[in-house]
Amino acid sequence: MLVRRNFFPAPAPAFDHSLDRLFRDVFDGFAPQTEAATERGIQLNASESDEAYHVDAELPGFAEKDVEVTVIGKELRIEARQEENSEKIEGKVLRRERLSGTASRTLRFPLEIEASEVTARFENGVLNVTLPKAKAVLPRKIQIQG
Amino acid sequence: MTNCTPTQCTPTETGTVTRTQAQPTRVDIVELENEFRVDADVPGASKDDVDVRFENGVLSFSATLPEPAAAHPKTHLREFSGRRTEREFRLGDSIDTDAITARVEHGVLSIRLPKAERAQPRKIEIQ
Repeated sequence: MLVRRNFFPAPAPAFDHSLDRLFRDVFDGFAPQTEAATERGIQLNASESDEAYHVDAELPGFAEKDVEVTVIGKELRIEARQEENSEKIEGKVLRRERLSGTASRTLRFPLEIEASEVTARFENGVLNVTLPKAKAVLPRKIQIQG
Repeated sequence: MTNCTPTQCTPTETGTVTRTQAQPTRVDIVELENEFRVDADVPGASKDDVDVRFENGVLSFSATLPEPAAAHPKTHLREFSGRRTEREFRLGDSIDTDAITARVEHGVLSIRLPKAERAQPRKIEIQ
């Protein structure tokens, strides 16, 4: 026999997006709903000035040692790798929306990069990479001889 | 006397106006024997950019994420920007609300929510 139990006595009002219903339920002692983990990759911003490309990557929760930045030819590869948090192994995971484990992203630029002059900075979970364009491809102003 | 209906006066409605402009914060939630752990993504934010509150049975947090490095003339990809992010959860009565702690590290807000003693597993001595 099918027994229906009304776990939510009052329907949530339509405007009640704010409260995370799942988590509220968890804390009220109901079993968590099973829901496929939200897949997400590394979020990037990339822009360009006359001399260089600039790339920012969001990597919250990763430490500097977890992040590898590689430049080969015209390509930038950002790879983040993290050991699984032991608490998450021991505990009961109720919600997993954040990026974890291993993630990577590769960007290909139209112009050659001066690989030896690429700099990277990592602060508060955000990576900034500056990739100077190869000198050979930079625009050069030519003096007109009089 | 506030000018709202009883429904609107409940904590679930607090801050609705700002919430419409904020993005929901991504979270991981793990339940351990003695506590819940909430990890929330606040990339780029430091301690001063984050606000955590517990009020009327609702845990809420918000952060203002700084605009990433100055945009350069030509933009190729724009998958994130400076923004406000927030989320809130109603807590059951199994949490020791006085013992909630929070910290920000590597762009992650970590909140520990210890379970109240009465909600923790207890071994019963057999007499």
